[in-house]
Amino acid sequence: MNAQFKKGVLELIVLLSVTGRDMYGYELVSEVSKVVDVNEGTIYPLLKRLTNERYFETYLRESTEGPPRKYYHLTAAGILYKDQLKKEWQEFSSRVNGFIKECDA
Amino acid sequence: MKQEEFLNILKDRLQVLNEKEREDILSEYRQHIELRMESGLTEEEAIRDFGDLNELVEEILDAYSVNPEYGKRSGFDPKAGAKAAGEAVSAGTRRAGAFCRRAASALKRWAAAFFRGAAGLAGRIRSGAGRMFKGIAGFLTGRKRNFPGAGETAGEEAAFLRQEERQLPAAERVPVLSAETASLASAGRISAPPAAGRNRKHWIRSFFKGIRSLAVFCIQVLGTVFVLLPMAAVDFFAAACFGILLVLSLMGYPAVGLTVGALGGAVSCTALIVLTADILFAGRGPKEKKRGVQTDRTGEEESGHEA
Repeated sequence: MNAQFKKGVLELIVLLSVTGRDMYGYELVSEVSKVVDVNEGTIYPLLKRLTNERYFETYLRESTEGPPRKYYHLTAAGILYKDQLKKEWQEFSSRVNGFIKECDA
Repeated sequence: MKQEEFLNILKDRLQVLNEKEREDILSEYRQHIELRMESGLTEEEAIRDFGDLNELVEEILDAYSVNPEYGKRSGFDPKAGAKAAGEAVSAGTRRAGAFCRRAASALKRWAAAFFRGAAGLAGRIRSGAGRMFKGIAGFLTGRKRNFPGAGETAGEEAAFLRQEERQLPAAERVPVLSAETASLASAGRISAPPAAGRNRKHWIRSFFKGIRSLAVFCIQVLGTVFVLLPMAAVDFFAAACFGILLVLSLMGYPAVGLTVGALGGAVSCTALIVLTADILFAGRGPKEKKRGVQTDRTGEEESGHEA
């Protein structure tokens, strides 16, 4: 699978995953890996960047199975950014699909 | 690679980040590896899933907008760098020291020259004023010695004596002591012995010489301050303008005429300065010496005749 495709869409998938409920790092990486197969190590830097840009908030919650876990929560700015990315992706993918149909026809 | 080794490398490569951030990242990765191992993977496999360690570090640094090249040791040797820096600093201080020493010796020379000039000035003022005051003092003591009941004001006396002095230059070459004593007697003031009269004349003459040299000195100072210095300033300004205009003309601006004009101004200012200085400071050296010799000779002639 083309690495550039995956890289381009990774941010959107991460943001979509956290929309329903807050998740901790490992859980989030597992969810994203189900959709697109990327190097797991590279997701953590992405989470860091989105946190630095204030799209995520993080907090620690105690866990029964070991050390406390860091949970990621989508902020209001994060929700706006996610909606914008979703719209852009839909426009982009429909144009690409339309072009493909033209070329096939 | 083992977990601890992986985490230590990460910690080392992320030194640009502050402690809190670094610990945050490391704990996330540690937790991820632990949970992976719980779901069945071995330590090695979990770490291999992270992919190339260098790329991972680059991505992490990129998330903080840090230059990914930071901290890469390729071609950088801290010891050599420190030694080079030390050498540069010592070379710089040596050059600065040499420059300071040269500047200090130059300053000392200028100060010495300045003080020598000031001493010369002071000497001239002193000699002029000294002669003037000596004249007044000698005249006063001479006067008191010979005319204890003096009633005339010093001004009248001086006016009378100035008349005598005007007669003197015309008769300088010829001993006219007898004529002078005769004229003094006709004014009814003489009973002074010739020696005392000669002393008085001598003091009077030196008094006026002192006034004249002081006056000359004042004219010289005023002339320098009000004429020479402004002209020198204008001269420098004209020379600077000439230089600037010359560069501009060479660069292609149409300023050749102005350049020639500035050059002419600088040259003529220099000529005026030389002329004024010659006028103001003429009469020093040879001319003064001649006059002094003449006076001495006249004095000797007079004393000879008196004897």
